[in-house]
Amino acid sequence: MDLLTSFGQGLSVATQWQNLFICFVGVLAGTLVGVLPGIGPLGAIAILLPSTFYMSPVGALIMLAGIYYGAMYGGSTTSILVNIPGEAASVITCIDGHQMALNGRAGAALGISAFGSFIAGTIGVFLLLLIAPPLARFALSFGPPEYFALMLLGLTILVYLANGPIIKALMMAALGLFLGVIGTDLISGRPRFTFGIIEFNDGIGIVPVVMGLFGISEVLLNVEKTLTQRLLVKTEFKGLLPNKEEWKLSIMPILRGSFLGFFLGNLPGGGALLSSFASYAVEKKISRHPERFGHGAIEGVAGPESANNAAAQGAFIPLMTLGVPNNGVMALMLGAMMIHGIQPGPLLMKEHPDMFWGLIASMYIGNGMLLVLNLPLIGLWVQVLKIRYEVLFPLILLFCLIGVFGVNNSIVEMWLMIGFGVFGYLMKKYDYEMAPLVLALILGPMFENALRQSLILFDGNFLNFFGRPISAGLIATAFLILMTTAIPSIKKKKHLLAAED
Amino acid sequence: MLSYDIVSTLFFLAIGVITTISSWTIGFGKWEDPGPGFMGALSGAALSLFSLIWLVDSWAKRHAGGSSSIKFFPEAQSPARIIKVLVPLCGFALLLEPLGFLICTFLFLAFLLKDDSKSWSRTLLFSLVVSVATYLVFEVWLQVQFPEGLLPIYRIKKWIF
Repeated sequence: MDLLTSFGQGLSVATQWQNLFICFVGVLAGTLVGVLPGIGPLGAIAILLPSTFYMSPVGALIMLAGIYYGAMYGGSTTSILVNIPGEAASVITCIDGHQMALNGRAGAALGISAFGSFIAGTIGVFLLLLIAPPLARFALSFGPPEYFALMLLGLTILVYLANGPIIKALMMAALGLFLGVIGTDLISGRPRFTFGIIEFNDGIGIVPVVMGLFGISEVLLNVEKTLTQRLLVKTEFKGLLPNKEEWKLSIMPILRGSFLGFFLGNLPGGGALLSSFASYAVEKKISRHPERFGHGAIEGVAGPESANNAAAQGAFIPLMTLGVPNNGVMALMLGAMMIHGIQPGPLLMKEHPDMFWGLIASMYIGNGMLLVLNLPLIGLWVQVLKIRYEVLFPLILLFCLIGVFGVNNSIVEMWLMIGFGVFGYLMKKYDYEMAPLVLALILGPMFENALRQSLILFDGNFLNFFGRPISAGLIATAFLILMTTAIPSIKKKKHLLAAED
Repeated sequence: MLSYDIVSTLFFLAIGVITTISSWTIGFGKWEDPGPGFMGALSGAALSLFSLIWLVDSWAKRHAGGSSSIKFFPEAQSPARIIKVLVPLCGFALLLEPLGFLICTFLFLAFLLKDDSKSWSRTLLFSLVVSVATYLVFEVWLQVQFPEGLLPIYRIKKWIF
């Protein structure tokens, strides 16, 4: 009953007219971002983050969350119609979704994708309701050593899942931790690496860094090549509702994908991409006709699309209950919460129940909005897909410039964004991943505080971390994960998993 | 890619060494009472160590496998295209305060769109419309305080609103 009361409280927050409007704007922006190749949910959240500063903290979170799961919806549209994933997690939908479109069933593919995502989102919210409160209660027993160990595990998993050599991801993580040091030391009050720049006294802003690394650098990478026009599938959408037979084939993949996606989304380092791949693999494995996969099997759309949306809901669990983000998008959400003066973690439910439950309730409402939005607006998204990148990228750049200036009215941060844009461009050329750097930058100050407090507590003796069961278990897990990189068979499969972008 | 690895790891090794030494001078403290330079020194040392490991690995592979043939720029026009984006970006940051938001945005968009559009008038019109629209959304609605620059925007705003 407590759960229902709390959810009811959340509904009362989420259904306030301003929060409903913000939710609508967020899911619309997210869908648009998902439809447009070249900018993923991470870039979109980075670019739209400054626009949330004029909202309440609850409103800001509702909008950013809406962008995230909205992007999952939107990504399927380009996958199905153009065979280009709108964002990373929709890669797998290209396989059977586009084939369905070529077979004249684009409408059914788009429809089952939308319905599957709605059902998965509903299941995801329900599971969130069940799991979040007990996990938050458990996390109340965490002290600085446990938080240090948990953040170390989170960083380790993100490093492990990065494409390419682990050493390069470790370098980025170390660099991110150092960038997190810049600013005034909280304990001694001493400035560190500020070079006399006032804007650096409070540390390097997360917004200019992520907008540079994910927004500007992506534009630079796209414009240096000759841009080819996308070929849209020329098909009439003969009804967006799947027929009875298609529903019969899809319902179990949707349910399986929802549960699988939610639990994989929970895992540190897990996310929508991993979930959609796993769901496709499962459906193909258990299908009585696996030869249909790759030729327009609706199960190959229904399962992965449900999984990626459920993963988007599940990814909020570690952030909201433990205060530790489990992928790049959640790291940015953490940054957004901190900017609004909110500390996520086990005390969030206790100290800001309106925010916690309001966000969960808004996810349910947002999923409903997406179902209503996406089906009638397919025609609009098709028109959006026709916008040439030569027109789009100046607008993206302008949005980045305005967004970063809007944070602190600072030209220095604008230069910082441009600098990180060039840095991000070069690092992508040199094959370095940015997600470990961003996560380390965001976690850095908390990581440092937890480590310093722990060392004071332990009188400088690192071995005492292993005297506490939770921190010992988490550190041992981090160590084991890094050791598995030495195993060749696991090394080969690692490329299938990737940090969320 | 191998030569790129060597170049990049040398860069990060240098960063790592500099940050480690600088953090040490800020004050490493003691293990039982870490100072303000503690985390900087640790992260700098970690960066140096990882860079060194990768440098040794890259150097060993370079001698074994020969130099990489992957081009840094995919096409001959790539450097020009990159510069064509960076120049207006830097120009926007430099000129935002002296010229103001509206003029800067207009010039920024016109510069970036001019090659794409066959018609100058369409480019200028589109740039003007977007500049005014973004001004209305961000300055008027969202209350972002952009620099006025050369245009007496606040007097116009006061007159309109």
